[in-house]
Amino acid sequence: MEIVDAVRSWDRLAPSELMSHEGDCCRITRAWFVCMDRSYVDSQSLLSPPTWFAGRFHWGPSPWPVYWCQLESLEFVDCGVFAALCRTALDARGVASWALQVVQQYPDHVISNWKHRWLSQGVEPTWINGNLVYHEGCALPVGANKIKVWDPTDFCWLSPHFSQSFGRTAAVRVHSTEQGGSMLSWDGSNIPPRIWYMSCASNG
Amino acid sequence: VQIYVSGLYSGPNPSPGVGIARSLRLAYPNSLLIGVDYSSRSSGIHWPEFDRIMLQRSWGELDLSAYGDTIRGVLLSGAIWIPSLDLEAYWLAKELRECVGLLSPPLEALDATRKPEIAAHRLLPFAIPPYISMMQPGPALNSFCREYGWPIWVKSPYYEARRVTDWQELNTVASVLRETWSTHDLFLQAHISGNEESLAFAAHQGELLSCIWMKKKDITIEGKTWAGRVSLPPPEIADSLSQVLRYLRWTGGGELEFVRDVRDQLWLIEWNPRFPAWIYGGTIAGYNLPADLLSKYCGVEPRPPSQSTLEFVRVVLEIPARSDFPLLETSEPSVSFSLTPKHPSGMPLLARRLRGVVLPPQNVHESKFADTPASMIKDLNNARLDDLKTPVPLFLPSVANSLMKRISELSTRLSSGRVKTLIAYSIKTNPDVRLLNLARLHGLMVEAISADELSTVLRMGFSAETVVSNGPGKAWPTACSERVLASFCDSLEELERAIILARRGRAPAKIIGVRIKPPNVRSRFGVRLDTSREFARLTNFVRMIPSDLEFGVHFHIASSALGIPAWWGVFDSTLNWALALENIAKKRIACLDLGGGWFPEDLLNSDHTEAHLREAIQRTERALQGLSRVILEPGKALSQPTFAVIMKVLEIRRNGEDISEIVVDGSVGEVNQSQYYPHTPLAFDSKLRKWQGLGRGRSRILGRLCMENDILVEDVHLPTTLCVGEFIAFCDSGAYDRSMAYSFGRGT
Repeated sequence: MEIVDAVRSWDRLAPSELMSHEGDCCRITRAWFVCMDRSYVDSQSLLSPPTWFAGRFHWGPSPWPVYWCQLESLEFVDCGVFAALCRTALDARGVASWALQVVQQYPDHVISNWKHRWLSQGVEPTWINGNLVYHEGCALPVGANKIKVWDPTDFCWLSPHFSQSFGRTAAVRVHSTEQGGSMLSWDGSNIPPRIWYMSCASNG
Repeated sequence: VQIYVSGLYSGPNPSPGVGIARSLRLAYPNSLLIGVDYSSRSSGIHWPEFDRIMLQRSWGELDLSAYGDTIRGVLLSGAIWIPSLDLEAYWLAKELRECVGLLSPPLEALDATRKPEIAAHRLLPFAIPPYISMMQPGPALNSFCREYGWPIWVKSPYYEARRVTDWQELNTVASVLRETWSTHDLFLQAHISGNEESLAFAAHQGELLSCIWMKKKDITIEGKTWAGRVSLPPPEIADSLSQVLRYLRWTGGGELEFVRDVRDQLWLIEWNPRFPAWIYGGTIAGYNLPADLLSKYCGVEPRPPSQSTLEFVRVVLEIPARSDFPLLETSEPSVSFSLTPKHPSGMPLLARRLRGVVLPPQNVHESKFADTPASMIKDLNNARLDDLKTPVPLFLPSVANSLMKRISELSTRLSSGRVKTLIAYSIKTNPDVRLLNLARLHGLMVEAISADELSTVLRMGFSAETVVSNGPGKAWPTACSERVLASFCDSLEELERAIILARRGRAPAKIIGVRIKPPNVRSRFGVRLDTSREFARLTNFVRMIPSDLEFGVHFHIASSALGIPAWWGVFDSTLNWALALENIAKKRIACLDLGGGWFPEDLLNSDHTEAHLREAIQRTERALQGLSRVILEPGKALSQPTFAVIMKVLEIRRNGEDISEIVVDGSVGEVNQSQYYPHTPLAFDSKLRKWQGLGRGRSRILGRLCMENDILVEDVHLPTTLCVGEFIAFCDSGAYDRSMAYSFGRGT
């Protein structure tokens, strides 16, 4: 599978957002989540992405759409939920963050295990295309046209890793809300805003 | 060329010797590498790339002068010596001065980079985290911990740093470090949250030869590097470093260790006079700093480095042990304290040897006397000591009156047209009638945690309108029918009961509120909000509060235990919860009650705290439109300094001329908080008829009880003139020391 084909297949996917019923159920859960986040940050960690829910939600297939009021009853949540939660927390703190979509490349044995896990729970792994996978993160602007990229599912910073490597970044789309089309610098790599940027390295 | 490299331990907290040797072997395959160490337990002596091992007996056994001559002889023969143990570098700098072939910094450079001040940092774009010498009196140290909050680092001036999370742990760790490093000259340093990075360099006679930056990608439990990414430092940092090293005339390797906080500020936490233990990680990345140093010194071109990757990791390897250094049988595990497991290269022993030679003498900063507030001295001077039957708690009326007056004035200053700031005296901290009367006189409210406390203050003339009711046992032992101003429920169950009572016309208070348990704080008190379901239940109950009753929110965490920054974090968090509750339950919050367990000086002697309180109250006023009252519960701040326990010296124990310990007729029965915060001890000089504050020293004051934990103060300076029968006063014992005092060892 060529990167370009995979990216095309996910091109119309917008970054994940949690849905809200028009009622207390979702309002209360969202307010609770934001207050919990504020309880776990202090002046030293205000600008750091949230990590407090690392052991609270577990990665796995989630039924989309996901509503706020379902948050605590879901056995598993996928990377889209983690990314949406991260952005919600940062936004409530007044810390700028942008949605980020990324295509990563993994070896066959990893892909096959992921597929198995999804299918065994009756969910089609549409986020897998060959040995490329669709993933979501958060981009944090850290100065003039510079970003850092947080992986809210693995609770770690991501590096571009455009070269051949385990989990290499094959393509990325940063949903910058800044006006204009200035390139964004991510760990030394220049990324155009709001469009898919593909690594020139070939894939298997 | 013969190259001697010391510091070979290669365990979880490794020395750099093996990494230096590996780097040199790559650059100079034919060099003769001789590993030097001072313990057969240093695992690196078995590293196969050493051609020879020169194992010395321990630093405790070595004749340092003769050993210095040996090394001088080695250097005169044309060999090179690269010391890789911090204290060895100090000793060699002093012993050999700048002997040819010794590739380590001169003594002046070591002094300029000595912890904690690291004077040389002023020429670099880095900050040093705040610190305080542990030779300061206990109250000053405790104040530092509260100001910067836990965790705090306890550091030896030579090597080793331990993170501690409370006052008791701090004292235990300080005692271990003192013993290990044979010095009282420890210091405390504020913790900076962030990621760790390092700058390693090689320099020769002040010329910076090369430097590299390393970001730690993985660390061990002890905080040591386990993986990292190497790069070149930013040019402006390299330029500054180059200037500083020229000024210091630095020779040898070196390492600066940093924490990078979330705002990108670099905090310098260590300056090591040697290459780092991860130096081979730099060589892997194509930057062979030990080879650069050697090349400059010898003029022999090294084999060019090859860069395989900028990232490195550590692994655990089993290698053959050298047959000429058979492994020792380990002794049976012992529960007693031992120096050896953590420091196989024997640096603590060297520290002991160097005390007063290269390192400052033991008592250089000892502070003999401590300042004591004049009002305390005035009250103590008014006491008729000879009439006292010790041990006895002595009320300090001027201190108490001054406190109540000042807090009352603070509440006036913090009040606005709409929002009144009220102060509630916590009865449980000390129910002494003199304090309660002063509280009433100065217009303070009271906080009661039981029906008994409530009855007491009502009998004394407090109106129910001035009472705040708190805690899980408000109605114990028998519920009081008086309706107080505010009652903060400790659980949803209690809130439900209060609502039912209110609907029957028997509301326990004009303001029904909830105490919130902040999710990130360990506490048994308050309504839990750890799940959205709990929050939803709370909002439902709040909606059910009858409209004729006001609603309030309360939190209570001791700032003295948590640290002041964390207390303000809890305040911010509580305000967020209050706002969310108000928005969802559609019930205006009329009262916010801030409970604290403050130290008096943190609250009343600090312009910063008052400014912070003012800003916080104004912010709360803007956020909560229905707010009319802010209640401050400063807890022990209003009672702690109001009593001193007067004791008499029963026995004096000496070590030579100095007093090592005294036994007094007081005990932890009268000063039960002595483990949790330092009290200010005073001694009465019967000749001068004068109280004297006791500073930091090396003596201790023991209680009369036959109990191991009856140690009232450690590390105190006791005047050599002190006599049996003289008085000692333990100030700051007016809060829980009083209200929780117990009788013990009196046969009843």
